[in-house]
Amino acid sequence: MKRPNLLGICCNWSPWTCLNAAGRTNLQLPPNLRIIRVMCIGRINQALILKAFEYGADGVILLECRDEDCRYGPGPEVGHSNVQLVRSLLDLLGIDQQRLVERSFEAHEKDRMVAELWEFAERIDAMGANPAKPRQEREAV
Amino acid sequence: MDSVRITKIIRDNALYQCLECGKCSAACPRMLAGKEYSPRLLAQKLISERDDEAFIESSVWECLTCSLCQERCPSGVDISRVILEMRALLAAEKGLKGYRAHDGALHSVGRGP
Repeated sequence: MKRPNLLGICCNWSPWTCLNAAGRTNLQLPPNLRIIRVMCIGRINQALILKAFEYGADGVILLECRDEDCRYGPGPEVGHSNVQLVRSLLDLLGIDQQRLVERSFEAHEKDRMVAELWEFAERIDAMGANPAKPRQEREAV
Repeated sequence: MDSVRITKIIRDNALYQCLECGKCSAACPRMLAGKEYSPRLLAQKLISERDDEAFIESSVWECLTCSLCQERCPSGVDISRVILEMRALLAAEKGLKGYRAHDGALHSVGRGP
């Protein structure tokens, strides 16, 4: 099977600092993971997460700051409630809820971040393709 | 170094508000005197690269705590307060005394001829 498409939505602050640090120390990230940088996870709404699944993502991971570290205020809390709501929708759509993950990091936790990303990639790999994907994409190997 | 306590110091003093503009480094009298010293880099290392203990330790003890960095900081981060708390942390952890500050200059005056 083709490798699953993974999408990471990454907050510009603590998680992005982690990613930078991981890059500087040459830590390997899952090759099929694409990262989109946003200023804050609170900026992402439910429609954007669902859009990712609609366009054929097999797993989406939200990388965010810890609740008390948000540079703007309520960003991660907005993220939590969005994830809750999108998860209930995913259930209705027949997509496994485990395909949407959120993780929060402090700026120095690069090793934990890389470990979590690999764990996420392996879990989605084991789950296989997203059943709600457009058929052409599912059949293209 | 105790990562949990460093995180607490960072949160208490809102060090995450640092924009890396470098005004603190530009204002720092140590920097103006030509020493290799940068409050901005210290803040960055505390936030993201805590494994560089040698750098953090030397920077923390070299600071003059003149508070000029805090005066100039557009985000209102009190770096000298962070440094004082870091000194307390390092002193407690490694059994050091306050006279490590300022490269031991004060201590050498107090010792007499």
